[in-house]
Amino acid sequence: MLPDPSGPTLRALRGLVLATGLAFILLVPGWVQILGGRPGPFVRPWRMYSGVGRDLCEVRYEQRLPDGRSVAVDRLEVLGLGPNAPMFQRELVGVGAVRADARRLCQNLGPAADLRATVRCAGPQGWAPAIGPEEPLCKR
Amino acid sequence: MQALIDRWRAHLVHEGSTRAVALMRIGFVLLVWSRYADEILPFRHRGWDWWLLVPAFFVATTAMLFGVQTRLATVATACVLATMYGVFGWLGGHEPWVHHHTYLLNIGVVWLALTPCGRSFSVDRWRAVRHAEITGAEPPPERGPLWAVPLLAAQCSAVYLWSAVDKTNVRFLSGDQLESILMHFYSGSEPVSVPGFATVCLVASVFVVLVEYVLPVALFVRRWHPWVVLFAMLFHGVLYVAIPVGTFTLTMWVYFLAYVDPEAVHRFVDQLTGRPYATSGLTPR
Repeated sequence: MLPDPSGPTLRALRGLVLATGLAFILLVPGWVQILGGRPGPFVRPWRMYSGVGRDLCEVRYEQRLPDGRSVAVDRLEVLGLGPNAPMFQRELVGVGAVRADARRLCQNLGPAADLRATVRCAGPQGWAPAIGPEEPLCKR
Repeated sequence: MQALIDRWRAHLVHEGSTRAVALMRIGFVLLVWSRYADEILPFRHRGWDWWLLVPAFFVATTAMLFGVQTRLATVATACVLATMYGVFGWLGGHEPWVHHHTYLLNIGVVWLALTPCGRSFSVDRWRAVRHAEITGAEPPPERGPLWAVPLLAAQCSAVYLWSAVDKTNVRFLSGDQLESILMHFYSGSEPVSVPGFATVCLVASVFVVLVEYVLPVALFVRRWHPWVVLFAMLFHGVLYVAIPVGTFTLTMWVYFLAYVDPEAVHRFVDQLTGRPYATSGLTPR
């Protein structure tokens, strides 16, 4: 090791910066993530992708036929969007968006359509059932 | 306790090869350009504040990349990035500049400014060698005080640790959150038709959390590096391909250099260039 040219003042300064920096890096996120403090420019939690996919609903549409059978409904096809529709059209965020989507489908399927859906949405505790197949979605 | 204090004191004066921090300097500044340069080009903006930012950004980062007055250039780059983050991002409401991946990149440059990252792979180094040649002296060793390098390693470990803490909940560990994230990017609200998709997401979620709890510590164990660093790079590589993470993966790859033995990096570069282990001026510790 080369003899260190730094004096005691510089060494003390290094020690102070290093100790403060390590404490800042390792402990400050806990202020938000454990103690529930407000994040700020210098108080950063490490929550990555925690909001992505939140409230996204998985939707299985089906149409009840007069003979009692059920057939799956491809919403992209019925809405004329096609299989390569952009994501903002493929994704339904929140139950309100699903119900609005169902209304459009009902219009396209015709006045006699009996549209049902099994819907679950991504909530704070994971998937949660939102709409069941017992509920008719088209107004008669 | 005394041994710990002695070790702390020794660390504050320890010097080592500067090649690893120099590589970090080059890596970070290229990522800074990749992330910000196109966005701040003058033709995109009208305000006077942007006209001040543009020259400051490009002068500081260019000097940092090539290693011209490197310490000053790195401090200047850190100041520019701090301004972009704090003034334009937080105060000005430019939300993309306060994202976690931009913060991680910015703070990396801030910590790097505390290291002698210009003593290798730089114009400063070239000038020092030239000066030695002219005066007939020995070229200065590529060494410097590395007391601040643990800040970079700790920053990287903190990302894993606190991300793992954030994911330790029912929503993530059940696989539900990963399912909805992947659906957000790939299928939208259509049910995923891949058999076993939910099970794969469950297993992957538990695996990710385990990895994020283990890596912050495992990366500090140098004898595990051949496997742990390779695994961590692969882990981030998969994330890079699977979901849009921007510069995050490459930023983490650069951060990994903070864990690696600087002498090993030095020897590796010597091996690449076919030179013996002599240019650092000292024998390895």
